[in-house]
Amino acid sequence: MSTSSSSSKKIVLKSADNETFEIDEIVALESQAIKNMIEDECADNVIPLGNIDSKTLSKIIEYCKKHAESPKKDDNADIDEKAVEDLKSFDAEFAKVDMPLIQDILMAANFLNIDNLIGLMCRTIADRIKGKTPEEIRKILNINKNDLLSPEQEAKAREENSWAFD
Amino acid sequence: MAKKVIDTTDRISELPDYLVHHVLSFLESPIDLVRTSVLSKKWFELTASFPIMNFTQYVFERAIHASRTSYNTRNVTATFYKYMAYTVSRFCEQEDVSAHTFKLMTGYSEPTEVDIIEKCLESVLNKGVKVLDINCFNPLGPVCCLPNILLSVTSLTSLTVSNCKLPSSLMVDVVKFKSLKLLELRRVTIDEGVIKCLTASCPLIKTLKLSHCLGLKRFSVSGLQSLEYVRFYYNHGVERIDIDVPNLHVCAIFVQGPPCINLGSCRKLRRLTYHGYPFPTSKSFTDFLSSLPVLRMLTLSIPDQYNTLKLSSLSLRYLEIHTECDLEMIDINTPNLRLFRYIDKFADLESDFPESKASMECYPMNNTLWFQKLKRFLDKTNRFKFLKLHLPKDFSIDVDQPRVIQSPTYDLDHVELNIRLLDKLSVYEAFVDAILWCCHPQSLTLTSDFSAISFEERTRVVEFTYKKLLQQEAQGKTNIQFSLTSLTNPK
Repeated sequence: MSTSSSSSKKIVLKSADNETFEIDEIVALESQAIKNMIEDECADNVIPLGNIDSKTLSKIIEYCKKHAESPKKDDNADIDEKAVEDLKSFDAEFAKVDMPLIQDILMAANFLNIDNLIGLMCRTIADRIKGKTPEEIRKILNINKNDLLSPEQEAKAREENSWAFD
Repeated sequence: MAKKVIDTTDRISELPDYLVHHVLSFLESPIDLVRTSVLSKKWFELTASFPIMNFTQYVFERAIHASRTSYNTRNVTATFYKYMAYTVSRFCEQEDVSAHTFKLMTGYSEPTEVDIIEKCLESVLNKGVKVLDINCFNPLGPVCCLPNILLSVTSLTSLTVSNCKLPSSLMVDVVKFKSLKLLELRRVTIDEGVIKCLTASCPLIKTLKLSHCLGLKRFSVSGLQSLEYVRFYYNHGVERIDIDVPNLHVCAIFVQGPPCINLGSCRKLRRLTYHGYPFPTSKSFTDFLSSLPVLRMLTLSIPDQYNTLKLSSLSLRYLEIHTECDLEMIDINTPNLRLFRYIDKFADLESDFPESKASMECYPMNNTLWFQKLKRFLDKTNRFKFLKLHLPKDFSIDVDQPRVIQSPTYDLDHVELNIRLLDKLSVYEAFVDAILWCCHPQSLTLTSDFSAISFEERTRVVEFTYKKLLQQEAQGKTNIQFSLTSLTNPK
């Protein structure tokens, strides 16, 4: 990841598979969890993220970079409409990844406490299951087959709200 | 690096419940929501404990109609109530849950259906809820009564009640809204005591909105250190309004009838909207403004029979006047004003914040003298550098008329013409003529939908405007810019 050599403070993140990412502190601050660590001065030079792999982490950094660059809503009463549109289309592009990666990003965003990213991933999952039948949703989400309701339980649940099933 | 070959983990079921609930919160259709309940055992539980319950009858009916054409329409209403009762009872069977949001919107309910609503409400309120929004429009049947237990729901942060009766024990029981930040009542019968009783127990209340309520003769709020926003919208029969709130920032008052209004000690008020009849006299209005030292934005709607307005304020940055009252009869002494909007009674504009230079925005009236009045107003006020004009519908003007007075034109930095649909060239030309008669802009922008005119006509528009602006240059103006913006892409 190429970063401009500015004088701003750098933070190094280390993924589960031991890859390191050097990023501007301002980018790292998008994560409330890292922000708290820095504020409490319990962050070393390198922050190890033992439960996030490098593929997921690089996606998350991509997201945080973009959002850190964008003007924040509460900075100014009249925010630049173009910037808002730009961020929206970035988010839409960003979410075009496969379901396992979405779920990895969601878990990691939850761990790092990045509110906007959690919302984006949750909305993306919801958008993908809208209008689908239960069978289709099970495939999309890779629902564990050992956890299915018993045929009787499922029949009863469907019967209660038969209007929702074809 | 360990790479997964085929990913077969059910990651979503490993997520904490609140994240799955977050996903569910994005499913607007009850059909989608119900379908997720049969995915697996885990999802069956997750949907039962889902703390956001939204029972909006028309959304439900629309979802059903959209999904299956063969479904018996008469059953849809019954299905809606059954679905609500089922979902609520499933939720309330859970241990240690409290609801985040309970939203209910129904219309024209049978007495048995009102019973279901009241029972469901009681069960949910027993569990606790943060956001409650109830609207039971039932003009032909019994009015839905909110259960007494509502008053002891300490977790409530937002309460919106429309078309319902407040709990019968309101004046007797202690109200325990210690977390409440927003209270909104619409079409509810209340009196002065009810408002006192409700707000007295809300130390954190930030927003208070009342609209179309009945029975309120006197509206009075005072103290309430956290209250920042009050909206008082056409509540029937109000005679007196007293708002004495130290940290109030925004206040919007819409009244009919002759209320006496006192905003005495709201010294932090930054934004005021007043649509009222009758309107205070200019004298009392000036006194009124002088008691609001930090007022920055003021929106006024002046009834037809008032034909003068005089106001002065040092703090005012934004002034919007909805009126048919003559521009010449308006006298404003506002040295720090950045944007003045003088518009039709019913025009609705986005309230963006003042431009960098003092600006005026208006809809010219269909009146040949209007441009003369505009010119005199610009001269008199002698503040504005930007002018934005919207071409009114059915605009027509006697082109020779404005030339009657011969006095120097008013110098402006910029004029912006906003024309929704440019179709008649003669109208446009008369409009531009009239504007350039009363002011001299350094630059001009034209925004319009050009789809109704041909390419040749568009060229004529550009040429005409350009020629007109150059004529000004001949009169000693320099550096004239002209830019054209199209709402639709011209071919």
